[in-house]
Amino acid sequence: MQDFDERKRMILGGAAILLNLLSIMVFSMLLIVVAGSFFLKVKPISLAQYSAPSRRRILWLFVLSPWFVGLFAATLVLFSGSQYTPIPEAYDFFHWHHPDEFIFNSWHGLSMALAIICAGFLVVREVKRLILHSHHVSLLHELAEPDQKNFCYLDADEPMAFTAGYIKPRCYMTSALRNQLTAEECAIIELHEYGHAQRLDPLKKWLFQLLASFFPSGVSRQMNQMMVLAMEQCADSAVSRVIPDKSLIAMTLLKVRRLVAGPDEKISADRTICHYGLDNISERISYLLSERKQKVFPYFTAFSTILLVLVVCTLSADIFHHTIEYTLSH
Amino acid sequence: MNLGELEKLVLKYFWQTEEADAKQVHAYFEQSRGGSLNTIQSTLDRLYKKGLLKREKESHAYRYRAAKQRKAFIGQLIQDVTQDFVFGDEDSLFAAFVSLSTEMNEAQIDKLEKLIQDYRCKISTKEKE
Repeated sequence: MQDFDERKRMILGGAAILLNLLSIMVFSMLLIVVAGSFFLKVKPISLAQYSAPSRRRILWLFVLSPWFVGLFAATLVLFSGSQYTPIPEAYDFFHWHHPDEFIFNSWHGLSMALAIICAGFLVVREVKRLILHSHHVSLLHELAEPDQKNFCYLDADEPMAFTAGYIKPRCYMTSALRNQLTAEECAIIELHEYGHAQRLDPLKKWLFQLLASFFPSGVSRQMNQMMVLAMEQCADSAVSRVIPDKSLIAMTLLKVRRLVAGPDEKISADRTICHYGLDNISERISYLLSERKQKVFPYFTAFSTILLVLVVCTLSADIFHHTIEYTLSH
Repeated sequence: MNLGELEKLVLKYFWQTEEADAKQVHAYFEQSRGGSLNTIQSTLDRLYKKGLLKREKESHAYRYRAAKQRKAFIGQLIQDVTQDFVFGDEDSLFAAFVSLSTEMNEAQIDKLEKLIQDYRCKISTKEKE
């Protein structure tokens, strides 16, 4: 009778393999997120010496690594004992004892339920924000006046220029800003915003934010700020490819900064906290005018780190499994 | 805030017209769009509930007018768009030419201006050589 009850709570076959795969993936991801966050806290990564496109790649690799390393490690662990494995000798090092059985009423089931609830909450929260934001943007677009180059102008008193929209991003500038700029300065802003639109930056920012939200909030905020800065610097570089006078681009940045701040904002000397994310303008101007050769994407370091993490995750699956079951049975 | 197609059109109408009642709005849209007086009345009511229209009762009918003029409405919308994804001191999701959260003091701005001037001097010296 007890055996019959247990069978009712057990899944066998393909669905069980999939659930076990997800279970190992979740634990691998957790391991990477915890280790990565700890590493960032102990030794904050200094990406300043890398070029903006390289920084973007490093940050994408960082937020994506829990997903693809987790999936790859789970696949390796699960299929090492099956008939399809290319290396049967590897079974001694990494294996899963019951790949085609999944018991809901166990720590596997509980951890899977928790993981699905947490991931579901994060995804639903971000998608809800995305939908709300899209409504605001589409309403704004209704009220904008596009020019021949598809740059949208808004009749407003706030001096602003920005790119918004996900599938078809559009560039906006308010009349208050345009009226205070020269034709050359307007052209710089237009090129900068086109740079964002061409690379679908708003959508990428959202996706990055979603992936970063699986990390602790402090780490996620730090990564988002680094990504925002890298994206702005890439857009500035796109302008400098058309307008070679970098000092003019930098002066425009500073001028727009002053206009956006307005006379009411407190630009005082008593601000003692220097925050990386709040200091975008100086970072951007320094980067723009810098003649120092920036480092490129560290392919070797990145891929050897990923490989090392993959090996650790794969090997620790069995140890982790035994540790939990030993703890729970005592 | 979500606005339907008719709501947007009615709002635009009120930015051009000082005030009107449901019958006047219906008469305006009847030729171009069709639709019943009931539809217009419920649209006006929804816009009022969303805070986009104001109304006053005159005998048995309400007279409506825009709560915010076009410029102020766009300004509010820009603020909504820029604030949707802001958490604490984080940057928002949209890509602005300069970040709203960027705060700088005068000393930092002076330092940046000097940096730009130095760069200009360096470039002009190079060009002369």
